[in-house]
Amino acid sequence: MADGYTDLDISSGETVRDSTHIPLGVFSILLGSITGYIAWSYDIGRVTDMGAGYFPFVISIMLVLLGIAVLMRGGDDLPAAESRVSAVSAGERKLQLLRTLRVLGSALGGLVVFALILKPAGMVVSVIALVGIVSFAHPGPKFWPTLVLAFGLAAFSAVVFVILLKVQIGIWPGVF
Amino acid sequence: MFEIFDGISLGLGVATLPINLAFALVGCLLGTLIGVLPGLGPTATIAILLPITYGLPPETGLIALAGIYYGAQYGGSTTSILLRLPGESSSVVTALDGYEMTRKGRGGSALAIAALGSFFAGTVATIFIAVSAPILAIVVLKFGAPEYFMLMAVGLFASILLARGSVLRALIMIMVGLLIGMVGMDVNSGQYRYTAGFYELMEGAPFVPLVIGFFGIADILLSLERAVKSGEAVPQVGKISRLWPSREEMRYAAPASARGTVLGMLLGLLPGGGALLSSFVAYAAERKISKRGHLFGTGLPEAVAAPESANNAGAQTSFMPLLTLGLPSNAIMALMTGAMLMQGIVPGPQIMTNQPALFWGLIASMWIGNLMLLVINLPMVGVWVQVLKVKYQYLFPTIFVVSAIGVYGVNFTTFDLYLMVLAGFLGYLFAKWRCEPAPLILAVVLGPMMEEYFRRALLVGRGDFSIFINRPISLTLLIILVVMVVATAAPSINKFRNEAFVE
Repeated sequence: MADGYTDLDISSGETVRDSTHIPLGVFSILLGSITGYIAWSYDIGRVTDMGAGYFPFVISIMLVLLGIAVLMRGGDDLPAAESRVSAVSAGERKLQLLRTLRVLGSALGGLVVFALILKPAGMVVSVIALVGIVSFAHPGPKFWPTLVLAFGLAAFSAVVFVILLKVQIGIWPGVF
Repeated sequence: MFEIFDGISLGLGVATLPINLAFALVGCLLGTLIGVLPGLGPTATIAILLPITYGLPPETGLIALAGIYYGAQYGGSTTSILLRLPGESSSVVTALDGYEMTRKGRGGSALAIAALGSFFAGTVATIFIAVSAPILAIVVLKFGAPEYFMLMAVGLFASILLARGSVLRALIMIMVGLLIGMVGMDVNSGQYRYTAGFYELMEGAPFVPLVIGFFGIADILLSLERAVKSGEAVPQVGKISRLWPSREEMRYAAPASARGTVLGMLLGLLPGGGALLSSFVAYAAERKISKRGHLFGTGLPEAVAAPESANNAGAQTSFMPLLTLGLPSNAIMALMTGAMLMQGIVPGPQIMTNQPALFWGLIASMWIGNLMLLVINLPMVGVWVQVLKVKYQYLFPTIFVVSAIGVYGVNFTTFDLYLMVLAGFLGYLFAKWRCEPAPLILAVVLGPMMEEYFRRALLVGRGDFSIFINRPISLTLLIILVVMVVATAAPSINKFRNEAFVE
């Protein structure tokens, strides 16, 4: 495809039931329990005079109930066409997991590093680091074009964001 | 009636101010640019560019955002027709017949039909809004707290009924969104809720990092996961014929465009409606009523005209519920609401009386935006096709840089960056779990308002829930809500929902 990526072809023809309802249900029950517990510590109040905890408590309860419902439906809440996914062998699953970790690690990691060093290191260094790290999330980039991109974006950001749009951050490390 | 003419002339005055014209143009160009690129839809585009409008005057900011929205809409159809690459989902059906026309050497004609159809639809829809919004706004002024609460509940529920996917999972997204909306100080008691001690959260969870995370970052993570090394395939565009459609083509396209406009206008008004639903339904409807419906998919002009007109009309009229009721009906309108709130403007019927320049300026700019798209797009087709050669591996780091600096630039705090990362990761997980992010962001925006109206209603009703039943408008809305809830269980509705998006 023209955008430089194509779908992974992992279809062996066999399909299995979609099981995403399990993590989703567990997540909903956990989140609802925590927010409900916290809401209980706020003032619940009465129906005539609701406290800060009333609305969040009711919503938390509903979230827990929905979480239980999604677990009980066992995945048949999805449209029929989407309720089955291609079967994946153990080896392929491992490859997929590695790829996911690589994407999440470098893309989100790059952003976290950017946030950590932005104030001390300034715009130019931070942008170069961000581009350098997130580029590992894609198998395509080559070294030299990526380097050019990183320096280009750093220069662009310094001029447009710091000088023209007055984003409060130093261009270079230290106080300038 | 005179008020409307006064309003329109005021609006044209505002919209044609050089700064507003300039930002409408910039918005249309940026929107088209990103709309052409695959992988980023209009919602993500608006989310990422939201911080840039923060420093602008309110009218200018909203006009620019609206321009981005139409541009993104439009850019998608150009690549659908020429390359069968719909840049975003509402132009998927355009690709079916549009690309076939290109293969037959009628690509230029298909582009012109799409452009003229969109412009026609945009014009009609703008007039429709200008005439009916003031009337609706007057009716709405009679609404009290119970009505508003019910209206928002109906809006939220209807928005998931008309979207695709599991209703149950969309409800979970709504609850999560409502909880995020609770973060910050409770206005009634002054109690801080769910801030975990972060002073950055005391005034509520900041909006920009949330939407950029949930839409921009999460989308990119999903694309990256599917990315593999691929050859240097550069899209080849067939020769574009002369742009003007033949008389024969116009004879089929013109009535289809009119029908698509009407359908799109109506569907755009519905909660959860807007451009996407409009284009799908218009294509399906046109195929049903056409005498040569069996030939759809072989490159018929009416099959391009109907969905293109419908999605533009729908994009236009989806502003109505926001401007008159203060009720964002889909994710893009939720972003518009967020943009207004950041500027200190509370959307709703009072905008028209308190901020006439903003209200009419936005409406007038809709029409001007459509005119701009017509003028800038047809001559610039070649440029947009070149844009497609940009490789994704160099595009996404650029988007990351712009997003990260944009998020930081709103409040100058790195806390917002960490929040964006968290929202991006959650958005990625939710997508993996087959949940759509749109209901979540609607609920984030509506949550605080719903709580406020709910508490006020029960305060007025002295704690008696019958206040929701004793007032006729509120009761009507309640009945609509109950009917909708029951309907989700009915198989025929589910069948319709599944079929509406099949193609």
